[in-house]
Amino acid sequence: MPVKAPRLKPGDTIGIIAPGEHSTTSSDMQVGRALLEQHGFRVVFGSHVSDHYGYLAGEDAARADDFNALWTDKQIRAIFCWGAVWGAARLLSLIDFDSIRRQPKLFIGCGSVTAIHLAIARRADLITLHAPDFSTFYSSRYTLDAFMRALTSVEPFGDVGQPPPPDIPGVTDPPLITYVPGSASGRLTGGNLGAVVGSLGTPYEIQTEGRILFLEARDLPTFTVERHLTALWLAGKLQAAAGIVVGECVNCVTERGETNTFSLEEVLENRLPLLTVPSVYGLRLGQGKDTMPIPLGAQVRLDATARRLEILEAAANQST
Amino acid sequence: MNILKPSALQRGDTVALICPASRPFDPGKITQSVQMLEQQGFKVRVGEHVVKRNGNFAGSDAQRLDDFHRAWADPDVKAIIAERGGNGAARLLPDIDYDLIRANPKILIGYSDITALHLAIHRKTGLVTLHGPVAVLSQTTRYTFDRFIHALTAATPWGDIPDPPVTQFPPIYPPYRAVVAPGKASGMLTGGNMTLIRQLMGSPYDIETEGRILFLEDIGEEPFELDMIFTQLAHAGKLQQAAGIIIGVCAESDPKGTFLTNFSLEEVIDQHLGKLGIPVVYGMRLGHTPDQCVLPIGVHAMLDATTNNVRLSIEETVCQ
Repeated sequence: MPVKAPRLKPGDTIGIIAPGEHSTTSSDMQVGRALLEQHGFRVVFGSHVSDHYGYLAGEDAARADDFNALWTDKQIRAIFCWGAVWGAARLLSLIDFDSIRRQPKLFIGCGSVTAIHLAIARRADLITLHAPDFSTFYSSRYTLDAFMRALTSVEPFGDVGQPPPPDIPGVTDPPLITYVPGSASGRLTGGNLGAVVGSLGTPYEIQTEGRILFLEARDLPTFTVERHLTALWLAGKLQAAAGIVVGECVNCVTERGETNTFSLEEVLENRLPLLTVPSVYGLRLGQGKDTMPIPLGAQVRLDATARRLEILEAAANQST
Repeated sequence: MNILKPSALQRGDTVALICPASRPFDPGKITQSVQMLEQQGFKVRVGEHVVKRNGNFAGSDAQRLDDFHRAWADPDVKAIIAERGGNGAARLLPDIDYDLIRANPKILIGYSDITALHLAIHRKTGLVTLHGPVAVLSQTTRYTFDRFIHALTAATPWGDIPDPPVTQFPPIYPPYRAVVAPGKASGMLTGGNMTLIRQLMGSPYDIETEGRILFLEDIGEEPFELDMIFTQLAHAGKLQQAAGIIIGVCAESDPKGTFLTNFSLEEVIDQHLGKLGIPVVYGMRLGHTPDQCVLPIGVHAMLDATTNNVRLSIEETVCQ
């Protein structure tokens, strides 16, 4: 059985770390902190979040120190990642997984932080929260509300990925697409497509057997999305899953100067229907403006025919 | 592993020209390649589907696979030359008839996306294949063309792999064979394009590096993207197990400036490869560069990087 962290209550402290790249917008620090404080939380920053080492927020050892120090600090009830582009995977061999097992906390992040989610799943079997990072959790009212609910609630999240429709008459959201109909239940795994592929062949490799595999992407040319899907297929990861949910793929377009290439939908059409696994594309989960957190490791039910994903659990349990 | 060697080409032999990945940008390039091969005294059979269009693939997976299998099955064909790389070769791997290849050993040459075929064929059959120019890029310089023809026709050991002459001022960066970490190593050559090596990770075709001299190249990947691949290879133990590493030219890898500070490619190489305790060399002319050598996969080589006068030599026959 997976482990759950206690939910957050007003007055609890959230620790902010930058496990990968450094921020390029220093005002994000004040904005995110003020918002969390408005919601009744205390905020503590890792001592290296403002470091610069190349594109990273400090050397690997410094970033790992922040991770391990905040995780072992009993006052800190959640670890919230700042940054989602790259660098988190470099920490994996430096993370103290024992302290994660000893002291389950809410771990929150997305994008490249998927590498850490997958490693925690393998080494500590803790349910973690795939959610926007410290600089984007307030990208819309819907996103912020869903985020705060995910941190504090012990109620199952329920149906996901249904933000309010656009408020411009005549403009609609793109339709959801079923590639293979059917339904399946299982534990949720996955995250950022590039980071999931980055786990292949390593001790932190994603386990998809019998699980619902969630994938999202950001800023990848469509041919790279195709490469990554093929990589997961060659490694048997798509075939082994019980179901596949492709969330939002933000800015995944054909690269400038490319000729005769596929659109994102064509890339998905070239792979997912060849499988027998139920699959759906287009739920608003991932790194888009409107997104809601999802608990990796929790039980979910995918109904690909009805294009619904239902989260049957909360990310956290009642705090003691 | 049982190593199989192809026979060297002789004038009058027949070669097959195929597109197992992308189609040519311009169909006329095929004519150019055919003329070049005919001028060298070879007969040319062009794959039936080379100019088929399916997004950026040269026809459907089944069509590309059909051209590929016909070339191996045709007893008249003595060498298979990829017209170009691009994208799509990895999609063919599970359906390739490896027994057919084992029963009909012949030359296969290409690079970039063709890396997928090299690595899979090497693992499944032990056949020595040639990592070198695709036909469309075999005439970029005199050096490249000479190495290409030499690789196809030489039946004696290749000896020292020469560098191209410096014909341009200022010379093209990086320097030939800069020593990142000194030392001497011998082992079987393996390697190819880093993006393709990543694509096969965790699959039945993934690269084996233990005790081998690993050569790597890429195009269009920024330092942080190559960092991601090096991190994955390190987690999988692939770098530490190698006897030596040769980084070729990583074209168009300059940071595009999305971060306030950044790493150069050389810093990333140094971080991941500088302290492995094995010889590491950067800048050899292999990969996406006008001057391009050929390296055989599956043949024993010696790398001497004890001085700045780095030698890479092959003392056994490549083709018989």
